[in-house]
Amino acid sequence: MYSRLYIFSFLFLPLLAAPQVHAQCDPVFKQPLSQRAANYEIHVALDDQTHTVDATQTIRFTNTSPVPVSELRMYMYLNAFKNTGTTFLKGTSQIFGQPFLDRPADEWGWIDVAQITREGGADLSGSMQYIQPDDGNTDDQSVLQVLLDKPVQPGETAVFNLKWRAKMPKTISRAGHSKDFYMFCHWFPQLGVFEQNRAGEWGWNCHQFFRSTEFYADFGVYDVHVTLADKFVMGASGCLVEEKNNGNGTVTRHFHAEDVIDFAWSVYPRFQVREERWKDVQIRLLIAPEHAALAPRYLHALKFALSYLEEHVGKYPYPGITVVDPPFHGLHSGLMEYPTLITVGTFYGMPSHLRMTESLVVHEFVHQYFMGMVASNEKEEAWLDEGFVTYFEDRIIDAEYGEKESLVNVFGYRLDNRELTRLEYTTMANPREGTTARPGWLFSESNFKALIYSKTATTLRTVQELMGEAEMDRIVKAYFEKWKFRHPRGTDFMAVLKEQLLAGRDPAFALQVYGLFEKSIFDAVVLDYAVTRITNDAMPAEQGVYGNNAPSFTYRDGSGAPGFKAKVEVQRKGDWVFPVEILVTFEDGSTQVLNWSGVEGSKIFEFTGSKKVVSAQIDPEQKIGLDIDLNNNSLTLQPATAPCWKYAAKTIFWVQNLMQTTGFLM
Amino acid sequence: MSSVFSKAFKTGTSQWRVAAIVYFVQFCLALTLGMEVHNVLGASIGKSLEINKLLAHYDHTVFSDFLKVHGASITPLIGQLRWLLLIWLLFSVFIDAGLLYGATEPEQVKGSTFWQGGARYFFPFLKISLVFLVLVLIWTALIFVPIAMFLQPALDYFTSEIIPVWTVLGLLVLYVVGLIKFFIWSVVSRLYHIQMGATVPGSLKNGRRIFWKNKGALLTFTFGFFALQVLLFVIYWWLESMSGMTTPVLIAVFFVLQQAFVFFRIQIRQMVYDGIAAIVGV
Repeated sequence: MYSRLYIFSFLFLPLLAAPQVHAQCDPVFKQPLSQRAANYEIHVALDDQTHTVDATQTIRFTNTSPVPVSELRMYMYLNAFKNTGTTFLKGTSQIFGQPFLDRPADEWGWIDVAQITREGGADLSGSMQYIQPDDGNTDDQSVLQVLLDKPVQPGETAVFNLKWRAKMPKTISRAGHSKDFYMFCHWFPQLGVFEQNRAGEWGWNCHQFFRSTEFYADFGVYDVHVTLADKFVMGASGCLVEEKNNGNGTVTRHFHAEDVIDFAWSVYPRFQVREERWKDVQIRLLIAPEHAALAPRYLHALKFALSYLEEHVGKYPYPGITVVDPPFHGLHSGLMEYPTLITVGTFYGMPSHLRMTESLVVHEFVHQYFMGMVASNEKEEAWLDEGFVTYFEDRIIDAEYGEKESLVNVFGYRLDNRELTRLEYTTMANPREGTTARPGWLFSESNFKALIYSKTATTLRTVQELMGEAEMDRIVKAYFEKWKFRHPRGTDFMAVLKEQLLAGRDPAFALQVYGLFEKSIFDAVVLDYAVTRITNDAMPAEQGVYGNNAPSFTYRDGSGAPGFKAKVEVQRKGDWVFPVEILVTFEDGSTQVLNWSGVEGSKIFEFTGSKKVVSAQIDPEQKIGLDIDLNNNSLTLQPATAPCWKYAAKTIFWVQNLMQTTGFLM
Repeated sequence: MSSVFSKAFKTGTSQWRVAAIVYFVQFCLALTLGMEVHNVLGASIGKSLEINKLLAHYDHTVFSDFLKVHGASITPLIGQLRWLLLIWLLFSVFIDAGLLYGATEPEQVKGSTFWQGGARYFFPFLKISLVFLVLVLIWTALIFVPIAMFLQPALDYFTSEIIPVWTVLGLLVLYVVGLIKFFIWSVVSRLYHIQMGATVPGSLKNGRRIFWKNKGALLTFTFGFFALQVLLFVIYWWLESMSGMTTPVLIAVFFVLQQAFVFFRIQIRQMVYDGIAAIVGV
């Protein structure tokens, strides 16, 4: 007995003190899904008293191009928060509505590489310098250039070792800390993408950090070992390989992610953790305790999104997804996407009929597909991810929570996601302000979202309405399958779109739809059609002698039924030409559908017959959401007055109540 | 207390002629705005087929496109509403004078009583009203200025937003309680003025004294009718959400329901005045 106990202790007790190991995390995929050009191993320690991290980092860079690479260019995003001279902070006092000036010294952020060496011995530290390839602002240190001792040849993998330190700012724009909540995003020196530009020249695509741009990096494998106080609950990209208790109040957690373009992590002592599975995807929700009642809403929306996207786009290949719900004081870190980790945001007591909570988690999750897997350049062509994401967010939310009421349904006030998206574009002060397909730094804060998110999404929706949902899915699936784990440009999507449209149906119509999309993204025109007039002029009944020759002459005495010459006038009020259908309704209920090319600025359709025209409607099924005024698309000679009386009655009622209530104040 | 409620209810409902006068004035004023809305909608999108969507439900797209194109036609309505409220506040003083005079002589209330009281007490009550308007503005500032100043710092300071949220809710409840207290004090002051013929400062001082002496009963009574009005609102909203004004017939039915609700609110006001008068012994 004693000997058995001894053997038991000898064999099993060590295991109780051993690090926790999670199987099926390393490796995740049997075969790489991407080229894995940029791979990172980072050992980082967080000092939560000084809000600094010290790290050693190994970058394994594989030159997948046919030309030698003689320098490295890395993003040093945290330097954007170093001072008011940076390109990111210059010229403003607020970021996302949050004032950031008058901070004490320790609330600014920075990152500094102390040393970089190349495996094989060369110390490259002396060849580091900050460069400003976009605006020449010498105060900006968001791009670090490292000249190499010798080029990395095509096909060669070079290994670089870095030592660096970073100071996390008090949250300015996503990254940073708020009290003891931390969001580590764009937090480490990260390579740009070595690729061909539009002129066919190979070079680094590594832009400075502008307020209106996001991120662009290459696929790779990440192994991140984080040492931090054991009080912190942690969520990160990828999956947890190992957790080791260091015995001094700290733990070291090793996370591993494959075929991703970035790595983010978040820690907070008060996170509550909810874990669920959807098929073979592990969902891990880290939620602030005061929002715990909202966890079911997050999880339900996310699972529906997983299911919807698998059906309509493609399979989510990663083993898990982490959702971080920050505390309210850390909300500026919310509403963002990183590979296999998304940050959301909500508010204590958020009513169930306001579905911003659901809408946000769906939006950020769809980014796993567009940005995460189809890794377009968010800086240069943000429409390629944000537009697609918004489009699918609308589809998913409306599908699950009901059209016309999916986003808001309170005391009769209703709004769905798709409506809001369209209105964000159509209510722009100047919809002709500029094209959508521009680099992000050329947008202003007032037009960025309206054009990149909303106009693109509305355009995609219009294509869907014109072609049908099944065809749209076919287009998107083809694009996803061709470009996942790669870096498409806008022209690449356009090529897929054209190919798929032409494969689908009538070439003439397909090209019209293609032209509509092209104009929407690459031009700055406005689509607005209107029915401006309907007239019905009475024509007397036939009277007189009719016939070609005397023997066949007949006399009509005018006693027959009078006829009408009806005219329907339509106008193209915008400068965007697109063929439309017009539904004309006659007084006996019969209808006729006309087609108008829209080329003429104005056109009159005439009808001669025994029936009056009572109404005309352009685009009767409202497929073309891009039309900035849907109310003028139709005209009727038999207007319904009931709606006007309804709102008159409501106005009277609520004014009376307002008068009653204010009367109590006197 | 229940006898006060039932007596107030009975008295208030019996004075329906006076309520009808008040209702008529109020309706005429509100009608001007309602008809403007009717005309603006009709002139702008009345001939579009899209307006039919507004019959079934609120349609955000129709309204948003309307506001984008015809928003300038709404601006005068907002201005009209402001002036209308101002005029109504002056009318309110007159109306309150008539109703409160009727509350002091509930058995003899007729239409002429209402006009008599309104005319006789309009100017002193206008002074009292202005005093209470200033008090309400000060009270509003005392509650909302700190909220505006400290809400964001509080959200940043506390670990979660729970404390700030409940604090704000608590302050809003306190605000409403304060408004109700001012209202009661105002009513008691005016009743005192009618009964004793005192000066305005004297009425205010004695009104406060009498309010304080009977505060339990007065607050219970007034809160009861406040809760009744909230209940009526909820019932109306529920009815409209179940059915809605989706056909011409239902528009007419709900219009009648709406006006009945408004009329009953006026009668509730009479009941409140009668009940307060009974509690303070006027």
